[in-house]
Formats: sequence, C-alpha cells, structure tokens
Amino acid sequence: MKQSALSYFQYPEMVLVPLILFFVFFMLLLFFITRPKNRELFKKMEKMPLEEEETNNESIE
Amino acid sequence: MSMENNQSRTVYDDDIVKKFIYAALIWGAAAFAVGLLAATQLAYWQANFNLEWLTFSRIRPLHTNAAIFAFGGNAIFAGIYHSSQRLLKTRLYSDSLSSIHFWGWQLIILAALITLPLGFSQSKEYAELEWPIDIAITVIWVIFAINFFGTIAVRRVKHLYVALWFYIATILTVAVLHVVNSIEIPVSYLQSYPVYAGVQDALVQWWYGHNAVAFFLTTPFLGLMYYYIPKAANRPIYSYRLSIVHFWSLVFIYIWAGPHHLLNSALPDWAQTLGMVFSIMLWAPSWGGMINGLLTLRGAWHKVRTDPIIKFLAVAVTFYGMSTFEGPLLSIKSVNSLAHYTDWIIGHVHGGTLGWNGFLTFGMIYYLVPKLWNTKLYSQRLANNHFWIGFFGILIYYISMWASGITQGLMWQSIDANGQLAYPDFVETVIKIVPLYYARAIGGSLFLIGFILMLINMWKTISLAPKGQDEQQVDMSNITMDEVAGTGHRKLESLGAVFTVLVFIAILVGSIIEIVPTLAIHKYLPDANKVRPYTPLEQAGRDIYVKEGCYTCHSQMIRKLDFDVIRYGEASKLEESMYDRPFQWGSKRTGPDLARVGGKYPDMWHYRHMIDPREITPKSIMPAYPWLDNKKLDYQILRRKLSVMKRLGVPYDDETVANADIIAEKESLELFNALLEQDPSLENIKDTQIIALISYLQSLGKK
Repeated sequence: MKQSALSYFQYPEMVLVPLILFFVFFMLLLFFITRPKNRELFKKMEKMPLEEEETNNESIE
Repeated sequence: MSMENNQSRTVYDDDIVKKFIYAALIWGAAAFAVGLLAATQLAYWQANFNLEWLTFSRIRPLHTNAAIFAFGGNAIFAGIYHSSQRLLKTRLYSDSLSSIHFWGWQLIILAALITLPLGFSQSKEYAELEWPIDIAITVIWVIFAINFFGTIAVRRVKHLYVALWFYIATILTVAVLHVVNSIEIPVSYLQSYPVYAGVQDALVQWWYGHNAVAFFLTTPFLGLMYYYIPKAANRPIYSYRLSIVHFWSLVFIYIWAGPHHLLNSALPDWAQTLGMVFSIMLWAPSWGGMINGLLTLRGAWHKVRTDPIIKFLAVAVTFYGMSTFEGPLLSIKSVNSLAHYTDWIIGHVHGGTLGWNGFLTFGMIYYLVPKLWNTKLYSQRLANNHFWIGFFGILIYYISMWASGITQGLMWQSIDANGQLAYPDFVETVIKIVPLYYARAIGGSLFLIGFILMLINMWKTISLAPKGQDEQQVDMSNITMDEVAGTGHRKLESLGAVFTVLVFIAILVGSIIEIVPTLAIHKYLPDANKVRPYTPLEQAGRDIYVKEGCYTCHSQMIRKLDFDVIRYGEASKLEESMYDRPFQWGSKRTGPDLARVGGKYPDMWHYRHMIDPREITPKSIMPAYPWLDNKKLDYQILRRKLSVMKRLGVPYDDETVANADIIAEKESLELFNALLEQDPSLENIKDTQIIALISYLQSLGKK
C-alpha cells in the first residue's frame, strides 16, 4: 500500500505549504516596515553609503 | 585581528581590494576570450583546431566557471571588502585571512583552468570541478566567511546597511549550496561520483545551479548596487522600506525556483509546479530591487548622459529587470516547452551575466580605481566607447539568441498535416540557425573589444597615479555605536547573528521541503520498473561521455511533450536514470537527445560519427573526437568504480565488482571484433576509449 501510494509521489498540496508560509512571513514584514516608530531609522539608513564622501569622477585626459 | 584599528581612527585595507580588482580584470579577459572561442566553434566547428583541450565540450565549463567564479567572484570580493569596511567603519577583521582568501581563490581558478580542459569534470553545471578543488573551495569560502563576519563583529556602527544583508545571504547560502551539491565519493585523485543519482542528482544540481545564479550572481551584486549606485549618483537609496521587502522576499522565494530547469521532465509534477509558481512569484521582489536601484537615480538622470559610471550602472539595473522578467516567463511550463534546450536560454543567461553582472562590475571598477589609486580616470572617452561597444555587443548577442532559440524551438514542435514532424532530421534545425551563431560571435567580439578598452583605460589610470602614497587614516572620532536611541553594545553584536540565523532559516525551509521527499523517491519505485545497472564497459564509456562534456550539447531527457515523443520515443521515466551518477539530463540540445539512442544505429555508425561527424551527417557542426580511438581504456580502475557504486546502492554483486576489469575487457573485445570484421583497417582501436563510449551509447534506453 505504502509502496503503491508513494511510487509516483504526487503531492499537489505541497505547493500550498510554502505559499502560506510566505504569506505569513510577508505580512510580518509589512507590519514591520509600516510601523511609524521605524521611520527615523529608515531615513538614516537610506543615507548610510553617503556618510563618508569622496567624489572624484573626472577624467585626466 | 588587525592592529590598524583603534578608537579614533582606522586605516582601511584597500590593498586587498586592489588585488581583487586586478584579478577580476585579468580573469575577465580570459573568461570572455574563452567564451568567444566557444561561440566561434558553434558557428565554425574547425575552430577547435582538432585539439581535445580546446574543444567546445571541454571549454564550455571553463568559460562558465571563469565568468562566474573568476571574473564575477573576484569582482564581488573586491566590492564586498571595499564597501563593508566603509559601512562597518572598521578595517577588515584579519589581513592574513584576506590574503589567504585572495591567493587561495586564485589557486582554485588556476586549478580549474588546468583540470577542465583536460576533461576532469563532474559534468554538473557550474559545479564541474572535481573533489579536491571542491574541498579547497569550501576551505577558502569559510576563510572568507570568518573574515567577513569577524569584520561585522568588530564594527563601529550598530546597524547593518542593506548591502550587508545581501552579502550575509550570499556567504551563507553559497556555503550551503556548495557543500550539499558536492557530496561525492572519490574514485581517484581527480574523479568522483556524487552520492545522488538520477532525479535526486538532477533536483539537487538545479537547486544548486539556479541558486548559484541567485546567490552568486544576484544577491552579492544587489548588495553592490545598493552601495555603489548611491555613491556614484550621490543620492540616498530610493526606499529603505522597499529594500527590506525586496531582500526578504527574494531570499525566501529564490531558493524554491530550481525545478523550473526540469519542467516537463521526469521530475514529479508537484516539484515542477512548485518551481514554476515560485519562479513567477520572483517577479515581484526582483522588480522591487530594480525599481529601487533605478529610482535612486532620481534627480541624477542627467548624469546618465555624461557619466560613464552611471551609464554602466543604470543599464546594468535595466538588464537585471529584463532578465528577471524573462526568467519567470521562461518558467511557465508552456513557454518553457518552446524555449528549453534552445538558445533562448543562452540569450537569457547572457542578458543577465553580460548586462547585469558585467556592466555593474564595470561601473563599480570605473568608480573604484580612481579612488583607490587617488587619481582620476585616464579617459572618459574610452570608458564611453567601452559602454557603447559593449552595449551593442550584448544586444546583438541577445537578439541573435532569441531568434535562434525561437526558430529552432518552433521547428522542433512543427507537425505537418499527417501528424508527422515537419523537420524530422535534427540537423535541418541546426543548419537554419548557424548564421545566428556567427551573429552571436560578432556580439561576443564587441563585448570583448569593449573590455579591452577598459583594460587599457585602467592600465593608463593606474600607471599615471601618484606613486608611493601612504594608506590614509580615516577619522572615527565621530562614530558611535549608539546613534539610535536605546541600543546597547551587546544587542548590536547579537543583531548580526540573529539576522544570519533568520536568513539561514529562510533558505532552509524551501530547500528541505523541495529536496527531502525526492531523496527517498527511488526507494518506492516498484521492483518491476527498476532497470539493470550499467555493465563495467558501459560504466567506463559513461565516464568518457562525462569527461568529454557531451552533456553540453546533448540531453538525455525526453520530455512529456508530443513533439519530443514523436522525435525521440517514449518520454523518459524516473527509473531509467536511477543509477546515473552524475545524471546526464542536460540543459541544451545543440545536438539531438540521446536518451533512446541505444540500438538506433549500428556500432560502426557511432565509430564513424565520433571520428568524423561530417561523414555521417554532412552539415553537422559537432566536433570530431579523433583522440578517442587511440587512447587506451583503464580497465583496472573499474573495480574501484563499481565498488563505490555498490556502496552507493547500485545492485552489483560481489563477483561483478571483483572482476569488473576482466568483464569489461571481454565486452570490449567482442565489440572490437565486430567492428574489425566490418573494417579490417580498425586493428589499432583494440582496448581504446571509443569502444567503451560506443558500448555506453548503445545501452541508452535499452536497460
């Protein structure tokens, strides 16, 4: 019985498991990024690469 | 740990960044040149000069490994080491580890450069390197990881900028992918068999293969994008919120997408559907990243006209958007039935690698070199010329491969009014696309010419830079760990670790759900369906098939599609490849599928075809393999090979294993005598490799 059931292993519901997992995960993410208390942090982080500045993009030719 | 750090100032280790840039430029030239040679051989087969180590099937893996791991690898190491020090406000954790990382990686590349053309290959795409090199990769990657995570541990700022998240995901996931996909048992100093077989090997390999694209060619480059586009445009990133959603969605979803490389195959349908659904879902996070990258340029679009760095970066992100639109499209089963095994996939891949990875790397290097050498770029004009020549090169490449892939895919599918194939002779579908192979070679040449302009520009820039400069000390007196209220040092340290664990969980969920059920699948196949294992001579021939890289042009997977079945026979079944280590399902049909070629032609046909394909098929573009009929077969090693196979579960009895060499010699003699009877001039091919290869080909679909 087990052998015949698994011989051509077909689990269509397997697709649903990760979809539900991802949906829950995504909702948590949305909750986190929309919390007003994180706004200040995000503003600061957006500028992080620009904190040490050096501009030298000209040509010597 | 370096002594260069103290509380108020630091000296960044830019020497290591410079070394990786040099390496990326040198190996980039090699990777592109080998790619051009391979492309030329598809248009003009004689371009291998009848040398085995220059033949397409040997140099194709060399090209892909060099482009991904030598050019791409050195570029991302340069970018990661440069940007991480600045984002973490500290020197790299250890100068010694940096140095071991650099030289170790170059030695690995050198080992690949020697072994792949010599035919030492596992035939698993982008994982062809043999077991000693696999171990070396693991060691060097761990050293890189210690150096990177050590730098995070000694950082001077609390928060980890988004670029660093992508680097963390890269380091962690590549380690998992490489280790899991490389579990193999050696049979000699430079040959091994994977522990996985058939469908298991196919799934693990494409879980690895697709995520090599995801976590070696996408996540690190996205990290570089998030750092270098704001720097080059002097603009903050468009949306940090979007980057969070982009990062986590991408990392979570990408890991599931591997099975889209196996659509319509013998892989169980649930796994195919899973791969397709998650590939389509990838559209959203991928485009989230592209939008974030491009909109960072808002207010700086005028620079696209004048600044070659911005040109390269903007076009790179645009190519990222195009490739990540096309990838999910190709993952839809019906689209895939047209595109798979054709040049459309080659075009798609090169849109991503040349356009996204190549141009982003060029933009980054044009940005970095003047800064690191404290000088100015030698010539903006040369850089602009590089951009336009390279850009048109990619367009010609991309368009020619689209046209070639769609043309050939439609010809394969075409059925006439009588229900017969409209183009039954495979070579008809090849002849049609050869002109497009010439066009592709022209596109590749332009890309290489543009790159040579860059090499000249870099060489002049560096040679004209002021000499004898001391490393500059960076003032850190204003940097504090608690820029955001309510944070403590211990919490800061734990944040990186917690983050890493979360990434690990995100990639592990998909991997386990997808792979674990498949690993058990062979156990539940009914006994009546199981095939016999390869005879010793067939196994020896199979190893030659793998060594020569036949999989680069021939698949062994007849899909569950009418036109495939009409052309090649019954669709391939799981059990037919259950003892195949490594699996040989292939990913490209420059030549026809071979899953049921056994018994289709006489032995002599195969002999003549391997020695001179044009004698059998006048317009064939297959290279000749004349060396196979003068290289002797090593019978002795077959005992060891069969013993390893038996240990892995192949049902050989003890007698067959103990007498593998004797059995193979006997089989070989029978085949040789049969050939000699037909052509007495073949007296010198006794015990040669070509006999074993013919034996293997004749077993395909006949077990």
